[in-house]
Amino acid sequence: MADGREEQAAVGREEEESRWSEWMRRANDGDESAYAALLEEIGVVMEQYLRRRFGNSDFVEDCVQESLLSIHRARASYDPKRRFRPWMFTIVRHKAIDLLRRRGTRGAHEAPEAIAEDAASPESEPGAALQAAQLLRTLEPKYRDALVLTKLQGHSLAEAAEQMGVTTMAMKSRVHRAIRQLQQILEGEED
Amino acid sequence: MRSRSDLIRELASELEPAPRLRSVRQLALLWWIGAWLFVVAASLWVAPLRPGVGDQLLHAPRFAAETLFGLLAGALTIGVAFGLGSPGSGSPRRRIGLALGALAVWTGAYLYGLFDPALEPSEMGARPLCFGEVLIYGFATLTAGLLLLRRLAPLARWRAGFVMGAAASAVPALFMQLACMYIPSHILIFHLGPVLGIALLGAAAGPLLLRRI
Repeated sequence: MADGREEQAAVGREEEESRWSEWMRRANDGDESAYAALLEEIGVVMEQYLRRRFGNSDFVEDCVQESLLSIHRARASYDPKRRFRPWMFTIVRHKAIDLLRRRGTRGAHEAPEAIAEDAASPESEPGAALQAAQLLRTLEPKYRDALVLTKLQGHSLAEAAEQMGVTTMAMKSRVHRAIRQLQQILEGEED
Repeated sequence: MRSRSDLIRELASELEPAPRLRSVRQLALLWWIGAWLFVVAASLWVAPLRPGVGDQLLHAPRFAAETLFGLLAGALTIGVAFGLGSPGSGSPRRRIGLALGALAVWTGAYLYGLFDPALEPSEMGARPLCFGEVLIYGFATLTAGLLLLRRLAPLARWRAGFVMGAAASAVPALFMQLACMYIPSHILIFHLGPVLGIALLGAAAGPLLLRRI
């Protein structure tokens, strides 16, 4: 029963692979409708992929859009003789880490009022909002909390440091290590 | 932030046919042939090969092996450099480790040569500006490599630039094995030393010359 489902999923993925590869080939010849269809479909897949790893935060939509832009810029590098998924997901993983590194704290993506409201809500604990974030759960709690507080919830380093009872330097180091660990985990994923 | 649908509509409307690219392998080969032709022509214009180098290649197996290994290490490195321009070709860290490892082993041959050289050390064939030649030819081939790599999509631009720099300068460094004097300490400092410099230059130039993807 389970084997049947797996086989169906594999067939589905192969059909998807073949469809995306064909659409990208046509897009590189200038076919706008094929390109739009491709971006719509892979946008949904990217969102699902990122939500499973990072949970439900505005970071995910930022990352999807940045990834779509990167795919647009990199489209000439896609070789139709090779599989589409590894090409696409390598770009998505790279953009996820790149965006985490570049993502500022307060002001970059949440207004102070939103952060204040967030802080007052029961879900403001770093762990509580991440039930769907499988990737983040693989991090040690101190690194995960540091990353979530600063890069996903938008607290400044100083605020996050105060909340966790460490110095700002220590907080910066934890965020840096969290991103490094995520990068290693993501680079090790297979498609 | 704009909506995803708006973004997709915009990207589709500004779509232009993408230029047909040669494959990564073809680009790497094109660069490889061009770099060697340039380095050989430029070096020979400056001064001839070391006298007797043909005999040395034929009758000194360790020297021939050293040269061949250098050629293979350089070829592997340029393959990796261009491969970094194609996302999804495999783990970049592993491939870079392999390429730089091969270059390190090649360098190790000359470190070993400090105690047991492959040829009798001699100043025959000394070129007064070999260091400058490696730098200049390396810089030229690095520039050509980065301009070709620009047509692909290297994600980590400083890393791609670094590997391209190492590959680019390995060509003149290897040619000096045949053109300049054979003294391992001289080779390490004046032929292989610039490889690191050009690699670092590539790392700095990568983010400037390669497109942000």
